[in-house]
Amino acid sequence: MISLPLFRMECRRAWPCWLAALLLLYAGGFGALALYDIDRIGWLDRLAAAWPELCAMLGLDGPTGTLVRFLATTLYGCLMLLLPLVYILPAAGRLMAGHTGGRSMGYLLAAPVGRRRVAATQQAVLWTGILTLWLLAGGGIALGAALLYPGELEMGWYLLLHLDCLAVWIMMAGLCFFVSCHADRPGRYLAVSGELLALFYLLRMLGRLGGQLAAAGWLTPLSLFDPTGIVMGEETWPLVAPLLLLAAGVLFMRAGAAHFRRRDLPL
Amino acid sequence: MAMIEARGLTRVYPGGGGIFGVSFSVERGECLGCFGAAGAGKTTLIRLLMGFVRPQQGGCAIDGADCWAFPSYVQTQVGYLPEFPLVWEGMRGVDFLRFYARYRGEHGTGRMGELIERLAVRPELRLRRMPLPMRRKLALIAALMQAPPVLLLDEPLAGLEGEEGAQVVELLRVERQAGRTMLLTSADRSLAELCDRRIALESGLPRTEGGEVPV
Repeated sequence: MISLPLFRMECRRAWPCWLAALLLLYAGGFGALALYDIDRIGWLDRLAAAWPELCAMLGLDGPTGTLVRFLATTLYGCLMLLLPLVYILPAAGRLMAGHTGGRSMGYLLAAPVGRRRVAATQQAVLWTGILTLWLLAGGGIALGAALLYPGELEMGWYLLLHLDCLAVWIMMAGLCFFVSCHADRPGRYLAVSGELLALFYLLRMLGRLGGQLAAAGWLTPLSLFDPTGIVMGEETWPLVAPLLLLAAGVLFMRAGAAHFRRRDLPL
Repeated sequence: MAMIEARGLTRVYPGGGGIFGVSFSVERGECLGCFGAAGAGKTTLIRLLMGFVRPQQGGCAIDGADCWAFPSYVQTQVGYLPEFPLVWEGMRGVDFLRFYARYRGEHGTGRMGELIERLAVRPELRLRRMPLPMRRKLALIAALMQAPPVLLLDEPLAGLEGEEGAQVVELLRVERQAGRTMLLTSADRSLAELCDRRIALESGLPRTEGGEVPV
């Protein structure tokens, strides 16, 4: 059970970040679609040949033969993991650590709305933002592909790719919410969650270089998302990795909420 | 049964501050003042009564309900004025009060209009542009507008001087006469005359002052 007045107020507060993230996702998505034509003259392959390490780190060395493979390589390999953070990082921070640090949590808890309900409401705001972002971004890119390149997007593979991407977003949101529930100040939240996510990205990039650094990839949950493997049908258990990421995200959120219910609040 | 009760209430922070073995009871309709300098433990006492922090020893209850174990029931009985000012950026004062009434599950805004007039608050201002004394008074309106039976007021005169302070003191006198049970903390002794009984806190330790407060 959530508090509807709080839910509505928090959605209004999160709206600017949400819109910024959506616009950036559209910019990235439509940018990738616009580049697809140029790809037919092989620019990405030449780029990968010129800077193999850099392209490998950024995930730009994947296959580009079809539209969905091109999107998996150019868009889902990097941008689709970074851009949602424009919403997730500030929103998760404001929902819990922002209220605790700014002392407005004192007003929220000075009402017959228990901590469990406050945490559930804030989680609902985060889930709503992510799901709408995911739906509108995926729908917009698919629509753009249908208009620009009719019949070229293999919808089954694209849906699977976009669905797997959602699991990564939820894992990142869960992690941010977990840190936010523990933090007393927004600055500390931003430092810890930002550093953790940056570390995950760095390990993923190092892991992609292969060789002795390949093991670094196993230290980050982001390695569970392999966009080119998904669209090439090379994933042995294509649903296991997203389910693991989803479970991690949900567990992070629940653990954060459980900690918030028990913790002393410096209000 | 006492409306507010604390028995051996202890909460020590890592730095050594906190409160140590505070006991008192406040009967229905009574006003207890808790006085002391900054760092004496007054806000810690309020935090414990509000269920924001868990007592390490002892316990406290409001209307018979343990403040840590049953905060949702306790909050139906309490109007709370925090020491810190309102910080809901971007909201107008009136929007905050309406939101807060809905959030608390109330059907209307109760005495909002009457209190705004009495305290001469301009609720159409955005909180970030509102002067600090007006934000303090707005927070007091939020605490009082649904006429809760118990008031926990942390430094009700903080940031208020002259006429504004007098407005608040007069309002608290009216609330007391209306039969509210009150516990207020203050470093300012000018509120002492409002109280039936007083306790003083020094470095977290209770000292009886007037009345017959059990320590």
